[in-house]
Amino acid sequence: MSAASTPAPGIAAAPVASETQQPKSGLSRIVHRYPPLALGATLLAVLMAIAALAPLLGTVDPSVPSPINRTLPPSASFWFGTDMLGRDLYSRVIYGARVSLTVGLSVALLASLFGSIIGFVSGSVRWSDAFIMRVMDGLMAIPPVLLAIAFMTLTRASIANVILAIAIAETPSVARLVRATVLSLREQPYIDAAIVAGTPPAMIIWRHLLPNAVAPIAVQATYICAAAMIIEAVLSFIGAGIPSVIPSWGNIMADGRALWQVKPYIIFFPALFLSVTVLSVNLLGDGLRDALDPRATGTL
Amino acid sequence: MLLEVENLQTSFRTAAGFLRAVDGFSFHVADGETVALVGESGCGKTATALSLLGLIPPSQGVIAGTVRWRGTDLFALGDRAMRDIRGKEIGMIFQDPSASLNPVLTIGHQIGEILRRHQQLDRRAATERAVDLLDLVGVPEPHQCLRDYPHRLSGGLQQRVTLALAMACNPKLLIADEPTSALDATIQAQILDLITRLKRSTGVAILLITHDIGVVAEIADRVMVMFAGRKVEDAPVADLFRSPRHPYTLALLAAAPRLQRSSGNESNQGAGSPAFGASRISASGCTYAARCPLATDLCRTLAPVVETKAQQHFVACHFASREASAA
Amino acid sequence: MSALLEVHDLKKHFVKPAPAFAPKPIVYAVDGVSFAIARGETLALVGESGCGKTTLGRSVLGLHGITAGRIVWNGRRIDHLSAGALRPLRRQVQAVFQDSNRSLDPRMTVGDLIAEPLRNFGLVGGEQQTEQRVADLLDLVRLARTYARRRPHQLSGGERQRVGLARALAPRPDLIVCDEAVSALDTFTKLAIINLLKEIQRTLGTALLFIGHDLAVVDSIAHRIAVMYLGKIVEIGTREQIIAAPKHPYTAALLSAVLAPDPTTRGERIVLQGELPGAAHPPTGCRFHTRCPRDFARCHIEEPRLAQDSSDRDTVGQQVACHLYNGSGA
Repeated sequence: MSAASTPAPGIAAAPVASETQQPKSGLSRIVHRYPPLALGATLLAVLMAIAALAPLLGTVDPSVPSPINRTLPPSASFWFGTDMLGRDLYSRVIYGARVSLTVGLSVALLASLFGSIIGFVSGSVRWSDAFIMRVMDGLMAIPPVLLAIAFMTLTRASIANVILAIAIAETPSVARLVRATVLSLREQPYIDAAIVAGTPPAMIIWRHLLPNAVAPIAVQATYICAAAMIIEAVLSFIGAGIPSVIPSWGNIMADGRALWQVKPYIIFFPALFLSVTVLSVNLLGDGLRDALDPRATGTL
Repeated sequence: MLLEVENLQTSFRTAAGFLRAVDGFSFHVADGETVALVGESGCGKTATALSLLGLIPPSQGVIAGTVRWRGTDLFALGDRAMRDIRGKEIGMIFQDPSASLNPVLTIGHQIGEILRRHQQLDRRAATERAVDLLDLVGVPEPHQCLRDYPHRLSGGLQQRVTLALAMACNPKLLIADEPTSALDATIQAQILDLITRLKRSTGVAILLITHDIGVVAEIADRVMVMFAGRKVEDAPVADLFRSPRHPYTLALLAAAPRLQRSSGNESNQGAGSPAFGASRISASGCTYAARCPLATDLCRTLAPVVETKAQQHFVACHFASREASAA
Repeated sequence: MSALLEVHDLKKHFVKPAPAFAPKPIVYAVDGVSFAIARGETLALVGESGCGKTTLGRSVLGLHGITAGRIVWNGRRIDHLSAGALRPLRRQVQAVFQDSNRSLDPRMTVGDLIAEPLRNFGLVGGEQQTEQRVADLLDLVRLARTYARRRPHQLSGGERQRVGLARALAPRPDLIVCDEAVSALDTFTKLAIINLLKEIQRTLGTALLFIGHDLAVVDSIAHRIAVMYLGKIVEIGTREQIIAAPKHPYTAALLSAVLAPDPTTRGERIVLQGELPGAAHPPTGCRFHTRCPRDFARCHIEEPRLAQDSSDRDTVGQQVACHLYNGSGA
């Protein structure tokens, strides 16, 4: 223990003040208190803008081959270089953002939707709980990538099927989360209080259960988005994903795999973009988790 | 004098800066004396106890002042020496017995551990002593209890066991932090009765920390009233209840729930009780000024010094010389 | 005075789960309780852990079904109604819960929480009227109107209880069940909330079913007191009768366990022996006999009925379940 001089007196530990300061204006306050949230959201917004504005960012048609220009290193005319078919890598990477973001967000949305419905039913309808959860356990026992590969072997390769495959693989985690959330929320005393106040069951779900469940689901959704983008890259990398004609970061890396020791730039740029995107989504998720805790702020 | 505390100051690190929980608190506990430290939640009484025993790590808070235990400066001791004193000479029990009881170990294991560590008893001797201890604290069927896990016991029994743990090495001082607040009324009566008997049989001194003025009346020899980290009144128990001098003490006594034993529900309880609100330590001035019905400008600018009244009765109030019974 | 609420021989048992083929233990949380509350009166239900008072409160509020018995509200039997049929009646019976149980949804604002019953029962028209009613209710519980925009975690314990009370008062109920409403508050706040409750009762005439464990608190607010032990009422009477002249040994012990701020009464406590038995294994005969300082042979065998002590004609309305008195099991 130090016997050092104590700091100047501040506010004494005392019963909670009856006057609380009004929170400062929204945006600057969010940035100040939750740097991960702000950073993640900004990065993601930038990436989404890049994807949306792809044609305007100095790109050319990413699928046009040009054998004369094959495997050129990065230069003034080809900012990221070219691949084995002479396609401009910069354009492919930029357009690839569209695929990855689409897959990521779609999977997050679908998995959240399916998972929420399943989890909600499981948590509310007692007799269905055991059965549903065992099915979910079974699905979760299989690594998501393998599950997605298995699904893809049964259908033809397309973005829609890739989204569906990954969504199925990620649904069980949401289902478990929602089920646990529903079960714990049902026991909360404020549910009793709402019943006593005359709130009908449907309203209790809508007004009390759902808002309190949204936060964990939203946070989980961001993690699923990140996982989905990586799984898509893996699928494309091993050739079980999106056909090579449509550029995706996984595809580009797959194409460049054979040459990576001599032409590392082919793999480098898509990998960089994938990492940054996944990082931004994870930051967003962490930030959301803290910001959405009602006890922390009272604003969101 | 067993325990002498001089000008204890404890501040906790929080996201919003330092929070001063104890602000210049001085007191002493004599051999065999039961001293009660009473105040509302947040006044710093638990922080005081934790500071004394070195239970606040530097990462959490900063402590200053002097604490002398039987003449030795506690803050100058190393961790090892401090641990020895904590187990052997000073015992502590908390409001929540599960704070002291490890849920995965049997009672026998936990008592035995203390006995073996501090008294170097062997297995058999430790078991015998453990049974004696459980008898001392009134646990029925002590042999069975030794084999039980904490969760099998009721709240009252758990508290008895923590008392046994605290008394295991015949400490000179027992620090009891809200020992009965979580217990039912009739169980509280049992535990207080037990503490009284322990006092008589072992002569242990007790530092009792509580918000319940009724418990204070029941077992304390001397009472210290604490507000916002400072001592506002210190008197022998009979004196405090008969002629309280500090406005806060008066408010506390007036607000305490009590049986009417008369017809009609009308009581003057709380007439003139203080307004609510945060208690801030101003850089100068009395900490109670914001809530005190008698506060003047003097109170707001000059912190009152603790003065001695008759018969060991100390008050920190500018109006202590007058009859401060305006409530 | 016609009774607002009547409870007849109410029983609520819980069946605890057990492994297959093992007998399922039954917890006799409430085991045959009868009482009545008149309009505008406060009945306090006092007891220690495991006595069943909270379960009784929840049964009256219809938060779960009952095992046996009848609950009669304004002359109409309500214990067998479906949730949907019960809902309109809830307008008349509201509750304030123990704060530490977080009975306020942390995501809603104070204004929305108070407005919830108003909206549920269709008591307000548009937004403006709702805001006005909420402001009036905040005034009633002595909170600043600006509190409507705050959230529960920004409030102190006492303020949260005031919000709970405002919410309970919103539909102007005839009865409010206060379930340990002040137990988690510190001394000053406790007093303030009790005074507020008393004032509300004076001005609005609301009846209160006050559930608590602290006789001193109950003493300041109750007209009648019922003492519960292990699922049964052991004594019931007016405040004066129970506090000044308790008959049941448990009531006497409970009273003596209230610590007065007076060191001269030290050591005059009745200290009961033994622990509270679990509600799943109530003792045979009188449930209190294992701890009673005055038990005798009959107490072990026969359960006493709650009845008037016929030998003491001065105490009309005071009923006790104890073999020491005539009329109970005689």
